[in-house]
Amino acid sequence: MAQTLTHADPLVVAGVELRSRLFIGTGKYPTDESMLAALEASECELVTVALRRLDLDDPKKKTILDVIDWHRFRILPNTAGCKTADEAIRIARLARSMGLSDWVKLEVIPDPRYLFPDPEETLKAARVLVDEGFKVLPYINADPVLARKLEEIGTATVMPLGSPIGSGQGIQTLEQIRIIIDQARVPVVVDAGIGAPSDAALAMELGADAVLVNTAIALASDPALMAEAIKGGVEAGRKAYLAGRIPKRAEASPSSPSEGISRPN
Amino acid sequence: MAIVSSAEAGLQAASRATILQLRAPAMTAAGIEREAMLLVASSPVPVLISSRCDVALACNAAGVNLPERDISTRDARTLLGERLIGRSVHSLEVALAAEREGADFVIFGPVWESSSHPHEKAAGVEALSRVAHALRIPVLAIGGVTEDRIAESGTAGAAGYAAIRLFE
Repeated sequence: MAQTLTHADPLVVAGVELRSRLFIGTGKYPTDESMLAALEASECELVTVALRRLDLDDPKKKTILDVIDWHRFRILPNTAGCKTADEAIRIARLARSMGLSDWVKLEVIPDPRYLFPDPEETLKAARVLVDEGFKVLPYINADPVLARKLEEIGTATVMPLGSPIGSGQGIQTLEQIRIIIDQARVPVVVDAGIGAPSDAALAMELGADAVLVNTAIALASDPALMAEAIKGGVEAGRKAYLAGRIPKRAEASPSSPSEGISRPN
Repeated sequence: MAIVSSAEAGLQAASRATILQLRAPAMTAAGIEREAMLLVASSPVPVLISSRCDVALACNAAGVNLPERDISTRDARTLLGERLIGRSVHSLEVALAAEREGADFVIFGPVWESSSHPHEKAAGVEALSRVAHALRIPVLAIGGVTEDRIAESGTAGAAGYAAIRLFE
């Protein structure tokens, strides 16, 4: 069934059809093996990698680029660790010059406590990078006005947060995300805050096009099992969105038929 | 990286390159500025300017690539802030110095005999490999790069390659 659904309901980002609506981050896994097992179990296609983390002290040490089989996954370089637009632009350009990818998950985060993205700097960096032909997937607070501005600039998606990165608080920005989805003509990817399959399902039920999950999987006791569980949440939520959920009502409506039945004497 | 001598050549190469370097040593500064303005405005990929930090700033280019004997990488960084700074190098020592001074990448060569620089002796793939493995920043191969040699330079540890002829 999942196969049928994928075929009938493709996600297209920057002209590329993706086979999964679950994007996975590669930080915080206890071991490379547990990360690979989780990627496998998630059946994801898009995998995001921090460009900063590739700058290792030991050039002979394996990087994440060596560990993952990039014939099977599509790399989404991200600018995590960049505090200003200029820093993010620089490392995105460098990554692209070296042939890594022209896709970039744009993260400009000056605030270490809540890791909220800087809207001004994100917009500034997006302008430059879109202009230079990058496919930009910006990480933003769930701000419908900012989402519109980024879309108008020409970003490939918008990626509003559900709650702070790694917090596992779920979708705290539900009403704003609903508005973003309602307005958007580019895919909306809920990124950050998802702690459990139910959070992923909720985002997808709202009509998000995809979700990005890292910490909830990487720090689970069994990352591969959690990856599989969240994949299930994403699929369930997407199907529910397509199926059309019932509206919420203040009063009950009996499940059993109440009309046209014979009454006992 | 396609090394081009005009905006027109740059736009032709842009579909096959991940970055452009505008290098026109015979041109006047005003000429380079004119070409850089045109190229930066219309290129679908980032544009570096060879040597001229002033032109790179004036034209809002992505950065510069400094020839080995150009101003220090440190001074260029002071001028250019977070813009990209590459350095052309012909030896391991200079490559290591460029990295220490904060270059974003180096271009090492000529790895093979090059028709654009016939007087320069080829350093060879082993030398490329030594530089690529000694540095943490990306190393691009240059000099006599052909379609057949791209894979070879990758195996040697180069992050990519720079060329003139290949993109013409």
